[in-house]
Amino acid sequence: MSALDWVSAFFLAGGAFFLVVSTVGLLRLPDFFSRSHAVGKSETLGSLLLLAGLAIQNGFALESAKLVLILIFIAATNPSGVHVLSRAALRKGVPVWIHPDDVPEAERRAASAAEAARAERAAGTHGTDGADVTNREVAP
Amino acid sequence: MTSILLGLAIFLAVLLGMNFIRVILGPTLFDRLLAVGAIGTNAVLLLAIIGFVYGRPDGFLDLAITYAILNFVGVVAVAKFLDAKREVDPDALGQAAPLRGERDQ
Repeated sequence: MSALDWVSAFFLAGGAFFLVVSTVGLLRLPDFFSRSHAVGKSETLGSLLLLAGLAIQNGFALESAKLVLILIFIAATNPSGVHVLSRAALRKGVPVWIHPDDVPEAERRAASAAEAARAERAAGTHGTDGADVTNREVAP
Repeated sequence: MTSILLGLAIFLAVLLGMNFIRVILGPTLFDRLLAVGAIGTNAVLLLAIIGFVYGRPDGFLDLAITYAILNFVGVVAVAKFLDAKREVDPDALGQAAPLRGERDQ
């Protein structure tokens, strides 16, 4: 194997590793938002490494240009797709997982947020999206 | 090198199948959508690798580009639809992810 082959193999192995990390994260993490973190970052990095490894393996040719095109496209669209999905989920009030150690602190913070939202509503203005979401999650 | 790529393709196919577990289990609608997006990305990579395994990457890379574009458009369209719709079915949102975590119960 030439030196370029070794570099390509290194990139391919790195890409495979990060794709495994992404899949494990998607399966094991506790709620939607942490799963979107796994897919948005790890999957993107794994894809980029894998496509770069293929392009290096292929050498200087038209196929490499297409691979670079796919690489740029995935680098731009994969995180933004996950972002759009996460924003929709936040607005629709998907429950947020909180670490058990942090529950009292989170409840206190949410209670004060709910208080603020109630005061705001009493003052005749509409609460923001964020306040509504907090309100909904924390109801026992 | 072709055998290495073939092994990588099989490996990626296994990962793609594992993502289906989240599509089936996913407590909320958004989990399923996220997993579908991940499957789409994996499929793009799989197409690129299969092109090199078969020795004619040209056509397969065109397929991969098309698939990447369609995947992105599909995910964004559904996300925007869910965002704009006034009410999402509460069952689809699901309370399955508990606020208090798993150790607490």
